[in-house]
Amino acid sequence: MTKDLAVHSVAKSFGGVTALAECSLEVRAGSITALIGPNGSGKTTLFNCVTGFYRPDQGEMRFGETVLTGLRPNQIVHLGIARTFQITRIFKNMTVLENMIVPVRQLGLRTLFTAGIKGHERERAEGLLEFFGIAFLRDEMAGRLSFGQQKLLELAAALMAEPTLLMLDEPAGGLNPVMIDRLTGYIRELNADGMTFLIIEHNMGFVMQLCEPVIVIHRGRVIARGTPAAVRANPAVLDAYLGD
Amino acid sequence: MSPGLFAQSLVLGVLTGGMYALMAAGLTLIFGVMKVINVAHAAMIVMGAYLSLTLFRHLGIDPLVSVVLLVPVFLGLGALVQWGVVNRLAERDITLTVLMTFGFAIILEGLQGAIWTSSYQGIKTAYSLESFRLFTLYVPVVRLISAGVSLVLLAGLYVMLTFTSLGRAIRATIQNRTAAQLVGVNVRLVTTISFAIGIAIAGAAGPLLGMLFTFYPATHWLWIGKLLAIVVLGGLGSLRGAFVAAMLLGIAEQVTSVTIALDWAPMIFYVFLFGVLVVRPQGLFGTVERQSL
Amino acid sequence: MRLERRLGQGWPLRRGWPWAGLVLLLLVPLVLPEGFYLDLLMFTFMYAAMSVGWDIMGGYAGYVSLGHVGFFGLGSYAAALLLVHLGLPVFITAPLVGLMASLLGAGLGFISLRTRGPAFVIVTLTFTYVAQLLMLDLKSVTGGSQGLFLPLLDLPANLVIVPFYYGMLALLVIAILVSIAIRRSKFGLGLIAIREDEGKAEASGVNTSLYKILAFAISVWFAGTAGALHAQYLNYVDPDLAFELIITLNLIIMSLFGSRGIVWGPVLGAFILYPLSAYLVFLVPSRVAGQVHLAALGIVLVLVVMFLPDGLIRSYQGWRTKRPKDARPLEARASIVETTG
Repeated sequence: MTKDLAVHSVAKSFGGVTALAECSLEVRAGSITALIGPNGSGKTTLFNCVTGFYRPDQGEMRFGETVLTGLRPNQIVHLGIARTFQITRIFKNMTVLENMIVPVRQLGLRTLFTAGIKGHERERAEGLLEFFGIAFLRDEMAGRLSFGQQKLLELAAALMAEPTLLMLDEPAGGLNPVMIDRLTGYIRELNADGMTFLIIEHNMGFVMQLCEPVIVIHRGRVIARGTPAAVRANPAVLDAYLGD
Repeated sequence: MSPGLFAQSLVLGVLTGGMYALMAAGLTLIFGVMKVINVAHAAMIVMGAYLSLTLFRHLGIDPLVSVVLLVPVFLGLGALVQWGVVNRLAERDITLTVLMTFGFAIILEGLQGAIWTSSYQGIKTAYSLESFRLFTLYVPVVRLISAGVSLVLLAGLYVMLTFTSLGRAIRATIQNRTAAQLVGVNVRLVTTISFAIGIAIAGAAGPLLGMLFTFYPATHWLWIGKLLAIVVLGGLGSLRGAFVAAMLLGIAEQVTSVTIALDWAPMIFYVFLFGVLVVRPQGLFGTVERQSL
Repeated sequence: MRLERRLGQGWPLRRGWPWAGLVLLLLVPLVLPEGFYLDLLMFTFMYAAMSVGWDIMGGYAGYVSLGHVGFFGLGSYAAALLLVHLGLPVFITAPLVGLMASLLGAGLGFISLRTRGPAFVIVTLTFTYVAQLLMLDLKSVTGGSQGLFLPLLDLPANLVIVPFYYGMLALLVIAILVSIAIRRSKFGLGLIAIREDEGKAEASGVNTSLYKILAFAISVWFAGTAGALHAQYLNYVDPDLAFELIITLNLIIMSLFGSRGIVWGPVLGAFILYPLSAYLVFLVPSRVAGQVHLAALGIVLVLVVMFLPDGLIRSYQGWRTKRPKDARPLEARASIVETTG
């Protein structure tokens, strides 16, 4: 059921500035893969290419057997790839529960016009909110949640789309150590249930204890890949971080 | 269509296109810095035409002189409106800003009707009907003058944008507002100035429009459509694109009015407008708009 | 307020208010057969119905249309032509004319709603003028600027308003029911998500282009249908009357004033503003009435945009929740969540 994500020599540039150059990498089903690299190395651009927000200039991306290139973001979500954003994005003027229901997949126009929140969907949403410890907020306007709660809501809502690969863009950014521990626990638990993760993160402690393998990109190319320890020992990685 | 007729259409098209380019320049400049369609742009141009008409009738001021008079007035008004009203809103909600410019257009139309009535007007100077022959071609003097004035003003705008530090700041803001801010451009000030310049250009175009065409309060709906067609074909926010598109459409309009019918000439703008949006939404010169995620 | 609390949310009267209002409005023609009030109410219904329709696009999805009168006008012409050439009565063709408007809306939506940029504003802004120009230029079919005369309804003069009264009332009821249904559906949830953050909606799996196009098609059905009825009401249609700018302007102002994105917002806006404007127009000398009316509406739009962009209902709700009783419950609870666990 779970699939590998394969990115093959994807390139993307914006008005002469190269963000990704011949970038190739693979995310194995069932792994918690980290994607690290200095600022501006192309991590988020890669996310945006995989999730259909950018159309790569060249290259191919596959999820299992399915070619992702050219699909719209909403189609890609329905293939089982959900994502969060670097700057947390939730629907601030909708309730927490409504935020959870938006990603529920509709099949055809008929289901589109059925009740907004069906019983079993509500149960699933509440189960997830419970899991993340924010169920008591279900009827609050999402915009009134604290920063950490919003991050958890974004994660919970992404899970409502029933993804098999979850792509998180700096999930630990801005969180305090206690919250980061909780987040680590959630990710481990979900991973144990078979969820694949691809995580962009700057918090090295978080990456080193949670992720394997770690993929390092620099100037739009993959420069290293391996266990956290191996990557940390790799001189090319050090150069990339210190060099410029 | 005979070659002679085609050459004639070409001449008239280019001369009219010059003025279209001037009118569209302000619209595309304002869009460039604010990402807002100034729905009232054509209504402001028509306002310029009415003011020029009044100056001409009551004080005998030639419309070409009123071009010079109206520029500072519209510049000041534009700055005032942008700084006082539009700017506050634009930072909150682009949708509301569009609605506000829609409101401005309506107010101007209503005011013009209340002051000058809704009948047709035109500015008829001593040289209005004069023309001369260039080889076999018929060249109306007013069209030549308006094209000349437009070109001079557009050249001034071009020089300002290319060679001054203000121009660089404006271009940087058009390209990427956030990045411009990061490198120290005062984008709020630049936005106000650009808006004011856009409105000033509208004011300058008013008397020219009044000399070439008849107008009434509701004509701005025709003009905003024409201008949007030009601006979209040229690529929103692109001045060079607007210039080329204005020439193309000016010629296309002349050709249509000669080959098909005068009534259908305005339609050519909409054919282009809708066609471009279907085929190439970014226009001729626009780069692919990087979707704001 | 206090009554409400005492009776509780579930008390049937609270939900029954709209139905009670409807019964009352159904009875009005029997009690008050005078033309003036029926006329006033009929136009209020018409504007309310169209505003609710406008709000499905402008309020839920957050895409403001500047061209609804284009659909109204084409609806008028379509109904007139069907009646004049094929003898089909307007009261039967009106919903179908609405469907034609919806199809056209879907077409325009396809042109302008696949991207997020300003295309929708551009297309709706210019569409009205194009439609008007077409009706003016296709003289052989539409009679050009002469317009078209529609055969009168076969009714006594004092009763002729009644079918229009009920027709527009029916349209309003349909509009409200459709709007409620959308608000409660996944479709509505998706539209609001688009308004809040279109990119995020897309990343959540919402087919944003389809949703927007569908919403616009539904939105303009009401304008097209109302236009059809209005043509028969006037027994006449010409390019100036059919495409009156004031109509679009009214829809926008009414929705904004009442509150965008709330079912009853546009209804409230229409019921307050239409009677008011009908009364105020009397005060202006008729020589300049049309122009002053236009300018005044423009000023109202600018003022509403500046000072009441959330509209009456939402502002009232905001004022209610801001009272001290509700202050900071979340903050207090938030700190517990973030430090424990």
